[in-house]
Amino acid sequence: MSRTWFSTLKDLLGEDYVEPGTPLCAGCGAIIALRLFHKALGGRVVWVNAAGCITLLIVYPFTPLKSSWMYTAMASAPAGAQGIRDALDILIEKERIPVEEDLKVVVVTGDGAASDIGLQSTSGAIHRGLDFYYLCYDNEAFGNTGFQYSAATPYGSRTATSPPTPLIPEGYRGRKKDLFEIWRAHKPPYVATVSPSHPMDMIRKIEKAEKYKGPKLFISISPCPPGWIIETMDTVKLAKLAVETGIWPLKEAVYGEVHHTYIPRRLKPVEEYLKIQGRFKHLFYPVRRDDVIAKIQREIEEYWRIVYDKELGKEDSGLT
Amino acid sequence: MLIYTRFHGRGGQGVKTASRILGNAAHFEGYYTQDFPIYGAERRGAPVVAFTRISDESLPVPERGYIFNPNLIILADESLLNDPIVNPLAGLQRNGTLFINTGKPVDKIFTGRDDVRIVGEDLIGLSLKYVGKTILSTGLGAVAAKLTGLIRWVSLEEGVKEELLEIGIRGEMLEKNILLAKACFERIYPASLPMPKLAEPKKIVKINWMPPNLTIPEIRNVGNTRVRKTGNWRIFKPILNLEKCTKCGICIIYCPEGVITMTSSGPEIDYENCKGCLICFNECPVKAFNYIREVEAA
Ligand code: SF4
Ligand code: SF4
Ligand code: SF4
Repeated sequence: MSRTWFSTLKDLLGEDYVEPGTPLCAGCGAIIALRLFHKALGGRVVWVNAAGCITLLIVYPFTPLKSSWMYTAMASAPAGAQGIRDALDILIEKERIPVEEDLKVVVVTGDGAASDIGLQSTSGAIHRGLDFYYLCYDNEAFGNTGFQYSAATPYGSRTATSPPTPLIPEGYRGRKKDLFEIWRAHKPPYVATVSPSHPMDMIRKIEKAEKYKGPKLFISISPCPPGWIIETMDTVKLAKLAVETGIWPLKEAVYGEVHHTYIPRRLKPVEEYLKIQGRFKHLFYPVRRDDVIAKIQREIEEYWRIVYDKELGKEDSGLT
Repeated sequence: MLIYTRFHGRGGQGVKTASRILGNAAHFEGYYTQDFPIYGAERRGAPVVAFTRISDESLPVPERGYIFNPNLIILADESLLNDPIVNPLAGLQRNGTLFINTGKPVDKIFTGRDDVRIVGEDLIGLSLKYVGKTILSTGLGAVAAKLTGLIRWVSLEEGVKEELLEIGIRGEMLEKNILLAKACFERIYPASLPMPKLAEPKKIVKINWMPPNLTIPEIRNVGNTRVRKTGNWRIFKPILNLEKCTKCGICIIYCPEGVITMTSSGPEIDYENCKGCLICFNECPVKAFNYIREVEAA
């Protein structure tokens, strides 16, 4: 399949496949990720979506996309992708459409559909070796319905269904489900985490993934101004901080083999990331919850200690 | 006595909270009240509607559901006035009152209605002054409470407190909001409102079966959201100083709306659709962007 090769940021200024005028919130991180993803994949794409904020991109009779789109029920986007992939394969085999008209099938869902409701259909699709892409934009809650907690909500976050109360002052008590590891356990050709703040990292990963046939899965952190209670202008800044504090590692796994594409030599204190978000405000005000902050910090450090031992010096360089 | 209030705004502007503040205040004043919002998906910027009904013993809140014939409309966002889909003035009773949150004098705003009273106030300015942030809910609730002509300050104060405490606003922030409510309350004068028309009982509509090929929506005109001008969502407008710009392209890559394009003279912002998130301002490495409040820009 021929397309342009992206080597610098300037190469990313070319054709855009997502037009403005969408109904998503101002400053939404998910659409920055989607826009970049689309640029890297090129225009010959069919998106398969399950209910979430991104669903509202397309409200009849409007679409911002220059590509195709199909909407499915919340649990079944990967099953929808299977149907489209099979149909395309059959049409090509029977020579009803030429090979050049083939489309990349890309599932796009939020973290709710990816790690809760749609997990089993994704597992099935990976297990069957379906040739598709998956982009999960992770805003760490059910953003579309008013920010209720999801399986991807991190410890200590305020959500509509886990407000800090006198009884549970730290907010959400559960742990964030490790979707990367769940996907990786299937040993698909490619799994990666990405961030809209690191466009070249994202693009290189997509380019790498394109070489494989089979499931190619991506999780993007997606700062969400209304849910995270942040200024709209801070979306990209927060995505950067998430990477630099180590709470959002940038990594990939090829057939299950993990490799970090960016290893922060010195982790910024996670406090820098937490304290500018309203969803963590109760950890700082009216009383500072050093115990909770330390717990979050400790988990990050434990994670990176293992990575440093195994991988330091082996990450990609030249990341923008 | 019946007050039917309809609040129009955009998601994130707090019209739901405003309708509840009004409901609370009327309740503390001893009236029957009912308040509720409707919205599809809750996203910032999307049009949102909320309602408050108030009555006394003579006719305890006689209806449920949408308010089609309000006698008081509170418009949180002037830009909705000309939105044909929202159509915020629909059903407003003759001699009813329309409140518009605006920085302009109301006689400069075309509403197409000369049979209603129009009141305006710059609630964003007041909020910046008293709270230091653009919070509209408190101001809208306070203005609505005053316009009903039924509610005393003590009841409004209690109503604001109850609602804000419930959504987790306390301490200094709560105090500031109360000052804001008081300022709004004192700036507005009520007028008597006409009796709203009660709705006719609806007929039941029967929907016949239709084949799926007629009922599956299909969009062939791709990329057409551009015609939906989201530029009117802006509170702040980014301004680019081309002299500082090094044409690195970073603002283009990070702009969520994709409204910045590179031209031979540098990046250009399409203000028709820029939502004013100011990510460009924040991320430009050489600080080539500035921003101003949208009313000043007009
Ligand atoms: S709620 Fe969050 S994820 Fe959803 S559109 Fe708004 S900013 Fe984006
Ligand atoms: S980020 Fe700043 S310097 Fe770079 S192109 Fe945009 S305005 Fe110019
Ligand atoms: S304010 Fe936001 S939407 Fe407008 S040009 Fe800047 S980044 Fe784009």
